[in-house]
Amino acid sequence: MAMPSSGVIWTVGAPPSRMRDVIVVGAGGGGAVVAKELAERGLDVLVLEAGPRFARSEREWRHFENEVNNPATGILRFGPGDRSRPPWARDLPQNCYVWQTAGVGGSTVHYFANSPRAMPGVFADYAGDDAGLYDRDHVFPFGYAELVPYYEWVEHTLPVQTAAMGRKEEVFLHAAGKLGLPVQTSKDVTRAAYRPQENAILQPRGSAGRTGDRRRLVYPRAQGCTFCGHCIQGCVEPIRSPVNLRAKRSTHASYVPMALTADRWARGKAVTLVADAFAVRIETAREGSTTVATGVTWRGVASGETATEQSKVVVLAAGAVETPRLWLNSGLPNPNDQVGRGLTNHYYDYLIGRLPLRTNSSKGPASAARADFPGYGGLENIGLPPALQAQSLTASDAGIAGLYNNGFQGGTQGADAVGRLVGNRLKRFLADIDHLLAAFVITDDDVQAASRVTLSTTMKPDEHGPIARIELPKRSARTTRNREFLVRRTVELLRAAGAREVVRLNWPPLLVHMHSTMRMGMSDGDSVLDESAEARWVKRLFVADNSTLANALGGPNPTLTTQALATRTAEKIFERYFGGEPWVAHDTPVASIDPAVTQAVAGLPH
Amino acid sequence: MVGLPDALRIRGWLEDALAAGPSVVEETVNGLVAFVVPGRDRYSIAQGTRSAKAGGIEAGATSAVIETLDRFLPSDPPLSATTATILNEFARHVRVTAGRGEFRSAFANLSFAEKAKVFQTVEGLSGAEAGSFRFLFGNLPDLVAFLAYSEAGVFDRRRGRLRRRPLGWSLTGYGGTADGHAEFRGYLDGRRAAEPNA
Repeated sequence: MAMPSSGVIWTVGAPPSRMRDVIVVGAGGGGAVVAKELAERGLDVLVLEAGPRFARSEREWRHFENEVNNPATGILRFGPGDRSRPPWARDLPQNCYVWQTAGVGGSTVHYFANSPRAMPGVFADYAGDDAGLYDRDHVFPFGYAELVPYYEWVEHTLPVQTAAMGRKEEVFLHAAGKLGLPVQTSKDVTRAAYRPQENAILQPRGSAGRTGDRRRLVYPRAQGCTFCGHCIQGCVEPIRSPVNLRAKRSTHASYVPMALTADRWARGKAVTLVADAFAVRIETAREGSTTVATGVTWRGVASGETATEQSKVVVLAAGAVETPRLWLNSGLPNPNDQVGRGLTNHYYDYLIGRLPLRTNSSKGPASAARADFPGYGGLENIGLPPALQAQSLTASDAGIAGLYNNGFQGGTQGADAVGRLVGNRLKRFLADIDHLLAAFVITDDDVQAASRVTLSTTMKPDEHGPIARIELPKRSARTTRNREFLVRRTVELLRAAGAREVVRLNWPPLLVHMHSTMRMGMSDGDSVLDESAEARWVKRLFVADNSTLANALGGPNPTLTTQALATRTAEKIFERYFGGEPWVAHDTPVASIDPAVTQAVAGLPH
Repeated sequence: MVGLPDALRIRGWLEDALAAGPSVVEETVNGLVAFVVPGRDRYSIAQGTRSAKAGGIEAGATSAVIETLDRFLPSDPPLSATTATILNEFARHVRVTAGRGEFRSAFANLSFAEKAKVFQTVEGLSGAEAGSFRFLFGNLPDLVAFLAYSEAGVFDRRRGRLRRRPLGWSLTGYGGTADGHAEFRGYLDGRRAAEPNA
């Protein structure tokens, strides 16, 4: 096992047996946050990541869609770093698509970086007149105001900034204004309104966004977003920028570099990061009548060797599918049968219009404008390169537009067609990509017990144990109502933008936002985690990924809330098991783009 | 997606899938690619949707579809052979004479409307095998479209570069991959920061 000075362990061999303070399973959107916060406080943290390190991402990642996004062979897939090997399988007994990246940074490597706060209506203390519009049976077990300081901490650390506009945002936002919606100018959502996204994307400076000349897109001449249009292929812009100054703030570019250098920019202790290390069992022991976590066993993805390390605390952050899988494969207690249940995914839909005017939809951030409708959810503009746009236009649960609809119960809501486009109709629609305007419908969907992750009994176990099965039943009446409402509003917006032809895809479940499978809740009966994100049935075991979320947040994209919650969870761990004091209320966060961090990460490969 | 061998067994098609040769698989996938992104090839002509511009087959999508299926879930029979078998069996269900025609693949011999009927039939299935079939057939059109409009057919992986401009870029008027664009148009109402709290 080689251990460079950065603290990165490159391969799994036979690590020395030692007692860590904390082991974090997963270096994605949530796990990296806990790791950085606790490393900054000087704890000895081991981070295990099943996917590759992406240590030379500027060379490894590309802008080509198939090279990067192919679900079987792409660089950013849910599978081992060795692309000659197949991806890791899931049992999916319905039409659906799961989009995840395994590797350091997790799915934040391909995410859009949209970072809105949750709707206040999904928290325990909400008493607004519209409270009845929300999933009040599954609220966060504390008030919205309690989370705000943690939002602010993360927003400063990433940082989150108001999105700059490109042409497609101008068109989208202008159309939203024509619908009579007001502009929302605060980070908190208080009413139906539109706004530029609050994005974890650095605003353009210098020549960024002002040129397509590659020679002028080199750091430091260009800084921040260059409007390249490749958020989904993993951001390495501007060219030759330090890893912590990349435009898109995946945890690969923000929290992970900070965690790896916590001894340099802070008086902390650098984390140990082991990539290609698939956690296969949470180790536990009995302390009296209590089950406590004592460590983690993992398998080296390349070597096939297993290793175990002990720790005082274990944090699961493997994602809303793999975290319940790991729990169940470890044989941990599940007395209320809530582990894996209640999967929410925002019941996406996709709508797209053809416009006579230019939108430049293939350029700029994937999404930089949105409208929110408290009690229903939201919608956001989307720009995609051609293959992903074609993929988006051919996915449907309502058959082929104009030919059959699979008994689709929803309405057109004013669209010209419902269903996937194929044949010459697809080619005609895609004939000018930069005249398209598209939107995601992000529904506030209910926690439903039958929507769940469990262990497959029909597919063979893989080398890491029984695989996850994802079951997605019929949606509740409230969820369906919310989606239809939002589709109607989206069609109105696309028409206001000048769309002459609008297609509603009625997407099958797209599992990009996946949450609430290990959710925190109000009581022992309704949830897996208590209000501090510690497991109710296994002490010293915490969860810090999207599975922690109590519900679908009212519709906003989940990463920021997961990261705020992960920061809060880090505080709880530090207080409860290490005798520390909370810090968010009185400390000032260090931004991941701070010059001290830039200096600290200079030696890291990226 | 396992469950598929059992699903084939339930239907009595497992032997056919195991016996499906590469040429039949390729013809079937050609018929599928032409269905989703037709062009000027003979499969598109055969289905009655000749297009003025080249399509997925000319883009090189066929081999990319087969490779993606077979590497997504390595199995015996290969997933591409399973897919081809299901397409061809349902093609004969839609038109019993589909096995006779220009191609050895029954699916490739169907008209565009008949191919759509195959998808309608599979997506409407119920029963033990329906979930696996629906997952596969729900994802086939978008996989084909993704690959047909991507660089898959012209990318030299060893050298890490394109052999020529991908057809999908030309079909869509896409300017191509880039490190940036002169696309920045300012901030809404000149606001560069949101108020922290309402």
